Amino acid sequence: MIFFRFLYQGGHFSATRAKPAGLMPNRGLDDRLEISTFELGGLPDEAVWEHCDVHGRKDLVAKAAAVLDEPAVGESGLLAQIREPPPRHWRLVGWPGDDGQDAKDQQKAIAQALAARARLISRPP
Amino acid sequence: MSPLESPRAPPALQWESPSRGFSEEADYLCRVLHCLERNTARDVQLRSALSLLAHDASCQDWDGHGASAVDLSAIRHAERVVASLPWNVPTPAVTADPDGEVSLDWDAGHDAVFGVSIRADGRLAWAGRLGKERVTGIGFLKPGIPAVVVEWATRVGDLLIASIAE
Repeated sequence: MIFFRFLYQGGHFSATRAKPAGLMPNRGLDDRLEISTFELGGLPDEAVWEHCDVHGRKDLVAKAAAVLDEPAVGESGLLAQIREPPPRHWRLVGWPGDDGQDAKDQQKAIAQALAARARLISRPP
Repeated sequence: MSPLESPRAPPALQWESPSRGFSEEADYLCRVLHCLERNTARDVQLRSALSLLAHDASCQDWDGHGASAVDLSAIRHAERVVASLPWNVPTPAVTADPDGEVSLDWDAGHDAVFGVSIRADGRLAWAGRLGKERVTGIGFLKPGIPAVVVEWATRVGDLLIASIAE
């Protein structure tokens, strides 16, 4: 399984790498910390961007994506959970601090580990 | 005590002093001016980045993933954090976290990163990786910042400067 985290902010990636800032968790609708991804393994790049446009944010344009394989997610201690709709939408959960404790430093460490393992793809012009 | 022996003297610089051949005092003043120029440049860059951040992340969901708006108190604290760092630490990248905190990051490669997040109440949370070394921690912005933050920002900042120079 290959997870694509679409990046909408220029500050969340450099020319060659995803930055940890783009991999920090949000609170989901059920109040769990998560990062939102799509599992798009096996799709060609054009289909990835088409999926992003159709099923991702309509009001924002993703400029790049951080691509994470399953081992990278597992080694970070996170868990991938399918969360459809939209189709092929998965979230990465299991973040420290889910219980309300202040674990921001641990969250940053995980985001740094994910960024170190992520491959960056940029949206073609 | 000569100015060069002062405990407040700036650190030795790898910098060709234009005052060579003049007095030690002139050399000292030149080094102080150089430090001030560097600090001023960092302050200007930081203020510009924070202003941009205050604009770009001022509304809910600015990141497309449901983020909270950045907190203006956190922005003010971020300025204080950078002002507390030694002059030779380069300007960090400034981003907003999804929970509205401000993050200052020095990124010199996959395994040379350090970031500190600043909350509206002055709580700092930091994490870094440098080769096989790892650091994490939580503390508060008091009159100064925790020594470990200064140490890691300096070490990763040095690598960042070296990577830019290559």
